[in-house]
Amino acid sequence: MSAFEEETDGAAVERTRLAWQRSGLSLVGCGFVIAEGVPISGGVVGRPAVGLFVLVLGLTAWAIGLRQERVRAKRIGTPREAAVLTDLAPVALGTFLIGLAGLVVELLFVG
Amino acid sequence: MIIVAVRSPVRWLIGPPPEDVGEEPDPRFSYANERTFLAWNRTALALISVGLAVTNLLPPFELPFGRRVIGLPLIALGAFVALASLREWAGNQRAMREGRPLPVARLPLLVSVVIGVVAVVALLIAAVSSS
Repeated sequence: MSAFEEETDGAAVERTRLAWQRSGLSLVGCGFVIAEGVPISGGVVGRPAVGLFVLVLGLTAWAIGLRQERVRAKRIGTPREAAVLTDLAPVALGTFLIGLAGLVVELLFVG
Repeated sequence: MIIVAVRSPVRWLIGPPPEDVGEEPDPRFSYANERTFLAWNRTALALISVGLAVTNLLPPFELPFGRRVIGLPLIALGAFVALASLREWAGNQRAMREGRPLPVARLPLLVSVVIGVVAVVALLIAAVSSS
């Protein structure tokens, strides 16, 4: 492997790790907002359990990002270096559930 | 147990796990595909957040349900994008592993059209409401 290829591989790993951390931060932010309370007509509704769940989801995404550096970087050039379905499905399903919860809350509780 | 419970719907939604078919492409391509998924995921979160903000934080329009007409489609689009982006990731990954051309991406068109329509509706509602 040439020096250039090693360099770009390292950059790809780093960009991907940063992307995971941005996603983690977005989720942690959402988690705080949900836990702290969303002002709706007639008061503030906070859902600590939901907020905590989203927060944990965000921290998990952050941790996956950190893990890339150590685990995935070593896997380059070996048969299993890319993300597999079970790495990404929880993130997609978690975001879907957040949206679904938002829809249900809006339709049922917001006047 | 949770993993077992969601496995079948996930299979139905996105097909066989990409890692089960073909051969691993250049890892840089896999990483690029993964980052694209993550970027769509953040787009989904942004759509949901904006939808919730519109319905909850804006002062009510003179029109009944005005805020909901703007906010609910955005939240629904966000929820949809969250799942559709996983499907796109898997489709791209399978294509790369099997050496086929990437499938046509339909998500950008859908997101553009929905946001465009919502923007026009928001414009009309705002124009009608302002005195």
